Amino acid sequence: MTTETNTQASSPASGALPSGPMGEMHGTSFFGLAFRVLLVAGICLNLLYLTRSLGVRVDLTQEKLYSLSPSTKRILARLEKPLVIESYFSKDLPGQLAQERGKIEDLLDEYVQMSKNLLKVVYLDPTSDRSIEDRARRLGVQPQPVQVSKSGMFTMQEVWQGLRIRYGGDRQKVIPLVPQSLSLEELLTPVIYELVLERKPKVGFIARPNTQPRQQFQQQAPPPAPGWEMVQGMIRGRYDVVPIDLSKGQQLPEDLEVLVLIEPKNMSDWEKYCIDQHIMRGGNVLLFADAADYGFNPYQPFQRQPFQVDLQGSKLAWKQQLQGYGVDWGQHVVAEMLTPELQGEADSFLFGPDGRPNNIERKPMPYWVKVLKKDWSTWASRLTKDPTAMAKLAKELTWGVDPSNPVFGQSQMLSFYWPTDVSLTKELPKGITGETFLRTSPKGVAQLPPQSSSPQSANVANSLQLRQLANSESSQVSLGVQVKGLFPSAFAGMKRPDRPGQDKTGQDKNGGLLVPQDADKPVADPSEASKADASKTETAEQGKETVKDGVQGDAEGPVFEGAPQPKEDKPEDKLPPKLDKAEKQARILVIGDANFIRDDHLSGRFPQWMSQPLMRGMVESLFSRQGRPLFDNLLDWMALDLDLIELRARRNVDRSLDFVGEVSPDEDQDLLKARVATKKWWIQWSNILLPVLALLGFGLLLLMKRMAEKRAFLSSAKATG
Amino acid sequence: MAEMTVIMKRELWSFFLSPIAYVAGAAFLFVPAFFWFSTLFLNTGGATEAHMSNFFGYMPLAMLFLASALTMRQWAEERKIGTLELLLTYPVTTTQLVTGKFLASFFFIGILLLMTASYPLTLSLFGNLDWGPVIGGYLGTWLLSGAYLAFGLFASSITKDQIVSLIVSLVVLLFMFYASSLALIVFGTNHPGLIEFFTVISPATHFSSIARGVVDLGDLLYYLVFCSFFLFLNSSVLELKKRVG
Repeated sequence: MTTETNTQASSPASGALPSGPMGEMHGTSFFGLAFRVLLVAGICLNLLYLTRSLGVRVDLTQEKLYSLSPSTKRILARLEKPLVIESYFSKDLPGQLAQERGKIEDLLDEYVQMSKNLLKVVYLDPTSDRSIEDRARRLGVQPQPVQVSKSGMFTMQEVWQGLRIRYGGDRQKVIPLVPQSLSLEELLTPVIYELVLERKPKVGFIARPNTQPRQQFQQQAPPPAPGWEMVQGMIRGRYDVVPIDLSKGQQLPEDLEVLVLIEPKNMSDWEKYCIDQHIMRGGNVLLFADAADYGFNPYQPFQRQPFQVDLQGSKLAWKQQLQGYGVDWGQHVVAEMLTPELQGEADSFLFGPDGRPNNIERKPMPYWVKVLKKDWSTWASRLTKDPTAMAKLAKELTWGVDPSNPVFGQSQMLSFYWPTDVSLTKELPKGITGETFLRTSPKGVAQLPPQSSSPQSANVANSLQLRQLANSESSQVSLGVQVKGLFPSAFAGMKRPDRPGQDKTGQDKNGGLLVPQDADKPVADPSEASKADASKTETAEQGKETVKDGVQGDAEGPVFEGAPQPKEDKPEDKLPPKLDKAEKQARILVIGDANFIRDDHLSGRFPQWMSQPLMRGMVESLFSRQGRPLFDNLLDWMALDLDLIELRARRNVDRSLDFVGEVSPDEDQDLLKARVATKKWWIQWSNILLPVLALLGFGLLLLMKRMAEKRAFLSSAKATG
Repeated sequence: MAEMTVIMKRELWSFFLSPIAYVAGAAFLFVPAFFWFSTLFLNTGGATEAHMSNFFGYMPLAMLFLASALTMRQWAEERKIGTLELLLTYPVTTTQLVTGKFLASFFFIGILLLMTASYPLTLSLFGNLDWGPVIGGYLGTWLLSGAYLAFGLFASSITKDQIVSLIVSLVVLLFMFYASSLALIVFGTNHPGLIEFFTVISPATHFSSIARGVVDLGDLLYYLVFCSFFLFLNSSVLELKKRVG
């Protein structure tokens, strides 16, 4: 069979040699042939060695997992000075690690290629030289013990795989260990970025913990309310964190990249003005808003606490200011009413005849809202049977968590506690663009903050409240928005607000600032604060007559007749000109919850309740695991403009197989499992058997055809004799 | 070129008339798919991911048997039944003969691989499949089959016995595939030069790189050099037989 060729046989008898390279070899000796074989083998081996790291390659993966990201390339393009990466890599490696090392070196090589020769990689082996090992240890590079096989014996070996990055000769960072090739870029690029920036981005925090009034039957003073120290602590390595207090008339630093505003309350006009001017200068704002505070007091869990957004006497409401930027804050508390699975769970106490709690029951908590990365438009058919309404709903409903936003790349579900509704205004200001990226299910309910949000079934009032919630008008409530552009000033055409501590009577001896005696004391009660503010307003009114014209846009701030003029103000005390228009583009990102990043939620502790054993279940249920990475990503998004988030998000594309499809809420679980099992069985066996059967079927058809041809030939041969 | 195309077509057609090709092909299609689909559905919690890396993980071993089975009789049978001498008298060069046979086997394996296209298509229906590593996996498998076929043809050319040819192919290719791992076991980490040598010559290194979705010019050149070298050896062996008689 294999000898069948349809080429015409030439005349072998003529002795003509076949043409071509082999034909030419016909006359050569055996040794000549052997020499040629060896020569070709040598050339081939050399070729293999020379071409093993050409560096020309195509990364076919969707997320370009094995290539440098555009973010890294952009950061490398900003290099101005030589950057040297000292790679403390031990050479002798066991198999799997050797392959990983190859990939790491490939990626480092790509860093070099993208850096326009400003980046150099130097390989140092700490196991080859004692002085190199000592230096690596001094720098903080640590070897990792791994088990290896040597001469048939398993022994422990130290593997070095750390990096020291030096920029411009005087700045350096160390990565003690690169565990695998996939994490190299995630570790190395932020370090290079930090070195290139010369300084860490400055992030200001305005966060005031709430206070809790002492109850009548409470003997001890209530413990301090939880604040937002942990989130500040966890970003200190990457950012220059500046706690900000504007209550004494301070200003925001002009080089502030991002202002993180957490649960703003008791806001004076001065604070609002400073924030506005920060935005006008092109500074970004990350706002975590809350419409109410619940559950501080151990004796009244889930009860609404005193909470006031605007300081009494404030001329511009914070809500109104936000509207000017294109953000509509509803000041409602949002509940999730679709299914209990989308609600959090809280421990509900059952009380005995003596009025004391004697048992605990887990209850769904509608004010603890879970937001899913899900396209809710597919649910239109389950929410209504009317075709017209269904089509309208399918058009209106959209994703719960924006899947295209890398900030949420890692999370399929986010939890929020007593969130508030924030959305884009119906008409955005001119030149402003906005997007909504967080929404509840179609059964979200926004209501005025109730006095009690307790899930306790024993509470009659609460049961009524739940019934009311279930019957309330529901929609997909927006919980997170971003606006960006050249914002109009909320204080345009208005006088600059009075600066706290501003002396109207000429008594100020503090560079234009007057630090009041009680400035350090927090405003415990909004009513007290409002009184204090009222008195300040009164003073301001009294001093109004003496204020000169031209305060607006005055670089030196308001000047009062009779007041001693400071000869030289501290730089931070000088008032910059008031800006009525934005100088640069800015971004404002608003999340309708500040509780999920509060210290007690991040740490899983509710300090007020820990002393009471019965409350511990509640403590656990409040633990918010996603708060930390989400805050990290949100801040990076604001401060670094997605650069570093891309590195994290691209390795977390959801590729899970879904054999279940859409599930009806009333479908029996056993039937569902049976349906999925049958589906899998069909998929498995149809895929396994169909190609085999196709191949064998083709063979069988061919055989039958040949047999028919044979029979036809034989019969025709018989017929012709 | 025309002669080589004719040889290739005839050889390719001969595969479809050969029971061995059907048996080997059916086994190649059934065994890896059975193991892969069985493990793919082990996780009933729905966390299984849409990727084919495990499937391509079975390919080097499956391809080893398939390529050896397809090539074992290519020259050995010719020699055994005495048609090799007749073949060598045809007005075609030994290079054309060798390349024609090689391409026929190469395309036959390509057809078998195409028949598994239903797997990624099915996965893409139920999940977000990244097609890059799938394409890389198929390309890597096909190139690996080329390397195995080139060696298998050479092994077949040096013996009259199909079984000997099969065993030589299996043993040598198995050794070459796991060369870098075996070198580590034998030499430990005391001889990095040797380990690097075996890593460079091992098809496993180059296959794993392409199969994860990264097509490196170095890996492509490796397969080109590997195939060319063993086809050259094959040609040389035939030429020697032609001369010696």
